Amino acid sequence: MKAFISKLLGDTEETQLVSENRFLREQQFKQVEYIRRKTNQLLMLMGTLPIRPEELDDDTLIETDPIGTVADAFAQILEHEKELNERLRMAHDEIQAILSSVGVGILLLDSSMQIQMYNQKIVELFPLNKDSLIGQTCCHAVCGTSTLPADCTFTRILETRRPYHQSDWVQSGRHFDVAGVPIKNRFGEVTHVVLAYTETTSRVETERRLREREQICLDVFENISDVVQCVTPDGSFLFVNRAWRELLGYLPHEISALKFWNIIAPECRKECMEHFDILMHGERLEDVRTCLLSKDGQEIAVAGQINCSFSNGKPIATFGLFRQLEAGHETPQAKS
Amino acid sequence: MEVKEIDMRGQICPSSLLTALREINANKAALRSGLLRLSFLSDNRDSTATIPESAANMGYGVSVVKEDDSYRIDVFAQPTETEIRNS
Repeated sequence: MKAFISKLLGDTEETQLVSENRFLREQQFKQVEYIRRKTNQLLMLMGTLPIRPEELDDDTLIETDPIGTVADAFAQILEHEKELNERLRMAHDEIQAILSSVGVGILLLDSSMQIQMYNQKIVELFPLNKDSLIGQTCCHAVCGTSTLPADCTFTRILETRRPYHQSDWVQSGRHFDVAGVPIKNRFGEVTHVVLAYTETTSRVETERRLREREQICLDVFENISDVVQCVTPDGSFLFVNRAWRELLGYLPHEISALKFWNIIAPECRKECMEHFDILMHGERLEDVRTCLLSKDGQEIAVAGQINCSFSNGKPIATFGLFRQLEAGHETPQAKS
Repeated sequence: MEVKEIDMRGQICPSSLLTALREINANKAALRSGLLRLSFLSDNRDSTATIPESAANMGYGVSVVKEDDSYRIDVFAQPTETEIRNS
């Protein structure tokens, strides 16, 4: 009876041990499989192949701790990404500061013309709603139309894939310089376009007023009876009036080929060159008397005044106003 | 700068990558400070892509040079922001 019980107990222990061993083997198999699966998952993320069983047997796999190795590598990757994000944030802040500090309105558009970024100046230049600006098309936000304008800088850049500068773009009676630059991906495709707007309305208006005043001055000089001439430092004529042309007998198209010493009587040229030098040094000459030489070789005695205008210390042109001396007046030669 | 050479010839990916990652992890401080340069010798072509890509993702500079019968993959500290701006 005792032997029977012992045998019975022994069998039970053996069965228990077999059962325990099987359980442990299954557990170890599951653990190794888990390690392989997780390691392979991480390795695939790293861009490489899974581990083949013949490369690392189960014991080596546990001993070398590949999960720990890849996890440490991922920790470094995350650390690097964090630094990278910080640098990107700083770069973004720097770009924003630069965009805000420049006096031109800037838009960053994607390839479908939608606004991705803008600076404060663009909102000041155009009546834009900041809250809904991102994602709107430039055409809608700036030009205020749903159809592309004929002179669209964005379209031009997208077509040519080159920078483009439109010097006088007019919108609602205001003038702008528009400069656009494409941003390309590594395949050369335009992914974004940067547009910079500078308002030139006041400059254009000033230039128009200056042109008008210049025209008035030219009309006055053209129609006065005195002889008027503007001569550049190299002796070319910048302007002569009608009285000048009639007195000396030249046609308007002949003036550009003349130098000022061509219209000075030979005996007066030396003195005139001295006068010219004096003028180039900033002095004004009053009551200058000289003899001009007409196209047909006739000498004409004149008297007048000459001064020279300067820009940044450099002579631009002499301005001479003369009247013809009547017969009996002393010419320089008569004086000498 | 100290250069530590690790001969991995005979190993193929991913074992070579694991070996490289283990070395990079173990020498992180010296690598980051620019005191150490790891130089891996490998004759496995896949490793010339996987190791540089992983090391670059971890923020290291990498160079790959073909030598007689193997590749030399160097891993080193990347220049700092100031060094990049000054260069």
